[in-house]
Formats: sequence, structure tokens, C-alpha cells
Amino acid sequence: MVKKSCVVGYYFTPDSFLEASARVRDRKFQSWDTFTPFPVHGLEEAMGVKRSWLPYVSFVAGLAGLGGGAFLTIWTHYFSWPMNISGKPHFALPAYIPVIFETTVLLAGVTTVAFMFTYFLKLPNYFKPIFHPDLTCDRFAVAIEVSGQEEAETVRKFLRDIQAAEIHEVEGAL
Amino acid sequence: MNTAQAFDKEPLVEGEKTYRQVSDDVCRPLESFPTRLWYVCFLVSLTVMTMGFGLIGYMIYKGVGMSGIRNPVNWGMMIVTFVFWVGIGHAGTLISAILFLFRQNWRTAINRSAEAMTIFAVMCAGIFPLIHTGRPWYSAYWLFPYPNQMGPLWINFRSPLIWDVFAVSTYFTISLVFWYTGLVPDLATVRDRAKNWVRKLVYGVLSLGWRGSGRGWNHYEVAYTILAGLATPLVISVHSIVSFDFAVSLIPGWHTTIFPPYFVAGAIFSGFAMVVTLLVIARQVFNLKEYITLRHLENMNKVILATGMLVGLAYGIEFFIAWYSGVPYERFIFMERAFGEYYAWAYWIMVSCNVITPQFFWFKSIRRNIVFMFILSISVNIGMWFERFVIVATSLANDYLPSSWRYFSLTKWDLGVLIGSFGMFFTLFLLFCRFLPTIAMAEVKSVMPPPQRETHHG
Repeated sequence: MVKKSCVVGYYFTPDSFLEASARVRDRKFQSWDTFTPFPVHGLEEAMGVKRSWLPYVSFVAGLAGLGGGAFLTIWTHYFSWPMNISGKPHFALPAYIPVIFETTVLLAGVTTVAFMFTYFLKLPNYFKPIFHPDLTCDRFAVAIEVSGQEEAETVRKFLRDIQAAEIHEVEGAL
Repeated sequence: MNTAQAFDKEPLVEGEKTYRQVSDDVCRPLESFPTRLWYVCFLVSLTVMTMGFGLIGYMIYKGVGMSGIRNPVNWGMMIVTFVFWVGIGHAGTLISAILFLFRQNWRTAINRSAEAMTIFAVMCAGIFPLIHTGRPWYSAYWLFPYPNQMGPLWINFRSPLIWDVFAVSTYFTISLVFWYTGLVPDLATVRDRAKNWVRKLVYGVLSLGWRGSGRGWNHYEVAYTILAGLATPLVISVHSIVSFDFAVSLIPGWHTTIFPPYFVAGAIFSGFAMVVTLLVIARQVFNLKEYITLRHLENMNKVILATGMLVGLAYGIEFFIAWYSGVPYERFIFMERAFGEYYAWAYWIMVSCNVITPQFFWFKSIRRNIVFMFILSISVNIGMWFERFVIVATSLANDYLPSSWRYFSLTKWDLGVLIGSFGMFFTLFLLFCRFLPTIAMAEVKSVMPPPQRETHHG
């Protein structure tokens, strides 16, 4: 098996980076990504990534929280151990709404973040290469995964064509 | 340039900074030894906090009778201060969630510290109901629905006090998650700047291995927006539910439908005042004046003015409704509040601090005057503590049975615990300023004017 490596092209302004990113997108590489210190406006289009389907996860988690909260309140007070407290009905739905609302928000919020980090971003993962320490400061990069020297050369040339200010090659998969 | 930017006359970041300078300036307090001033403030806060916890321990050992809570004012200082601290937290969520949804770019410089303030304020708040129970080791049994062998006997979900438990604990969790999500990219920045291995390890672990991948940012931004969307109704629900503790009861002066909006406005009012107090100090001590600019402070002062008037309106409407309802008890309580022999002094402190002094913020020169806004923000904080004091004390001290009327005042133990909670708040805030980036670097960079030409740095 051929060893994988990444050819990384660096940019110093968001504008030149976005242009380059769009060019990389149009070449339709198998595996590539960009690295930026902050969410650059317009990056989704420049990378051609689809809208995240994370909202559906939040919605389902919210429904689960809603159902769980409703079950907790109604089951404890109506089925498990009905108690008469100041004559309030056992099935007092309006009084349960605050608790149901809170469980909905809690489950939706925590699940959204947990799912985003673990499923979409595959984090925590401490073993991926960090191409350059300035990528979380003031550098922007496009990284293209290549296998073999020949492919690396082609990609290097391509990155030079799209005006990368610096080009590095880093061992390891993207 | 879009329309919003065209209307921005003042830059959000002053001094024409580069991205690198932003990282340098924000990370400086983390990467250098703290100043003498920081040590002095920290030691003072830590001492006060330790005293507070000592007093709480002593109070629990001897019994909560040491506090001023007696019949008929059984809620006393504990619930007053609980509501006060929960209210303080609300500005943080408003800035991080609601202003985010409204695309208010100026929030980027202040959201991190405001969210930190939220978390610490809710932590301070949480202590008080626990002490108030007298036996906090039973709190799991009183507060959370856990399966038990007494029936099982469940907590009463029809009680607003239980709604409160759920609201405040959800609020705390979601605020923490929101804060941490925002912190991850900045922690990665600190990790990548780190010179020694301890720092690299600690911030590396905390930043989860974040690399700033473009595909990642896509999901990250969606998650952030969803969290903001969830936190927005949450923040409104929390103080509404806190107000239900009062409004659902049948006590004159509490049993009104205006309480939820009135409490939410008051919470945002007091919270913004606390943010101004803290940021005026923080921008001075950590030299962040170019990021937390007068424009940010002025905007916050405008919010203080607006919410202050909402609160003032609520005070007026309460009086009108008390009269208009024709209920003699309601009328009596409100007359007692404002002109009675027990608490008129507290009522007028509240009105002067919350309604009268914020009116100075109509003047632009005062909105942009650091000394003036610092004094006014502290005055608002005092006023808002007194608002809760007035609500709790006046309605309970004069109950339905005149023979049980009794004047409530804070004991020295109450005062000690109250001051101790401020010690805890400032201790946590100072630690935050020392160890975490106080300004959301990634967010500030995204609203800065981008550099126009390719430049190389060493």
C-alpha cells in the first residue's frame, strides 16, 4: 500500500483563500479539506459542502426530551403514585409544561453538541497532524490528500497555479 | 460591504489589528505571569469566598435559625439572593444567544466573558436554596425524581419550586455547553501557541484536537446556531419560572400575571449592569480597551436604559393593577411597600437605583463615560438586589394575620454569606481571566476587516 500524505497550500488572506478553495473544489479531489482560524464567510460555497443535517438530530433529540419529560411527570403523578396535593388533579398537564420544556431543551442542546463533536468532527482525536500552528491564528490552508510521489507533484503544481503562498507536504492521512 | 457594515461608523476592533495581534493581545494574560493587581484581587476574593463557605458550614452545623428567616418571612435573604444571582446570569445568555440570532456583531468581543459570568452567577445562585433547606445533604431527595423505596414517593412536579430545579439546572448545563463549544477553537489557538509541554497538554486535551477544518466549521456553525435558538427560549423560561415561585402563590403582591415579563426584564437589566461592572475592570486590567471599546459599553448601557424603563413600567403597572383589582389585600401591600413603616426605605432605594439613576444614560456623554457608567452599573446591581428584597420581605412581613406581622432584617451571618457569594463569583471570574481566553478570538477575527494583501510572518 502506498503511504498517504497531504500537500498543504497556505494563504494569508481570506479572499485569496476562498478563491483557491473554489478552484480545488472544481478539481474534484478524492479527499481534501481546508483549515482556517475562524469560520470564513462563504466557505461552504467555496468548498461545495452540503448543509449539515445536524438540525434533524437536534429535532429528534428534542422530541425524545419532550417525550421523556412528559413520561416522567405523567407517569410519576398519574400511574406510579398518585398523590392529592392541595386538590390539584393528578393529570395536571399545564403544571407539567415547565418541566417538559426544560427536558426538551436540555436533551436537544446536549445531544446537538455531543453529536456535532463526536460524529461530524470525529473529536476528541489527538492524533491527527496539525499542519501549522498558525492555522488557528492567521493562516488559511487547503490540504489535499495524495498517495505517492507522482500525485504529490501534480498537486504541488496545481497549488502553485492557484497562487498558494507556501506549500508543504506532511506525512499521514488527512 | 453590506448594509449593516455601512451603518457601522465605529470599528468593532480599534487600532487596525491583524489577526495575529488579536491572538497575541487576548492570550497575553494567559501566557505571562499575572500582575500584582490580579494577585491582590484574587487573594481578597478568595479570602471572602473562604469566609462565606466557613459561615455556610457553621450555619448548617448550628441550624438555619442563624439566618434572619423567621415566621412570617420564611424566604429571607436566601431566596432574595438566589433570585438576584440567577438574574445576573441572564445577560450572558442574552448576549451569546439572542444577540447572535439578531446578528449583532458587537457581541463577539463580550460574549465569552458574559457567558462565563452567567455560569459563575448560576453557581452562586445554586448555593442559596440549598442552604435554605437547612439540610442540603437531603437535596437529592427533595429536588430530583430518583427511584426510591418509599412507594416510590416522587417529587411534586406541580410545584413551581420543582420547575425551578429543572429550569436552573438545565440553564446551567446548556450555558456550560454553549460556553465550551465557543471555547474549543480558541483553546486550540492557545494550544498551538504554547511554548511548554504542560500548557500544550492541558489546552490540547481541552481543545479536543480541534484543527479548524472547513468541513468541521460547517457543522460547528450549525450547532452553534441551534444552541442559540434553544438558549433563547430557555433564558426567557428560566426567570419566568423563577417568577412562578412567587406568582403561583396566593400572596398579595406576588400573585400577578405581570411577574414573568417583569422578572425577565429585571434579570437582563441587572445582568447587563454586572457585565458593564466586570468589563470596565477587565478591559483596564488586561489591557483589552481596543477590543471592548466604548462602542460595546455604550450599546450595553442602552440596553440597561431600555430594560430599566421596562422595570420601571412594571413597578407602575403593579400599583395600578393593585388599585384597579379592588382587592383590599393587594392595595394594602402596595401601600405598605411604598409608604409603610417597615420597608419604604428599601422600596425607595430600589426605585432610585433602578428607575431614576439609569435615566442618565439618555445622554451620550454619560453612556461613554467610564467612571459614570461604573458607578451607575453598581447602583443598578444594588437596586436589583433590593428589588428582590422588597418583593420577598414586604409581601411576607405583613401577611393576612396582623398578629403575626414581623419585621425581617438580615443577621450578620446573612450578610457574611451574601458577601461570601460575591467572593466566590469574583474568584471564579479572576481564574477565568487568568486561564481562558476572555475574548472569543475566532469570532472577533470573523468580524474584523480582512487583510488585503499576502503577508508573511516569521
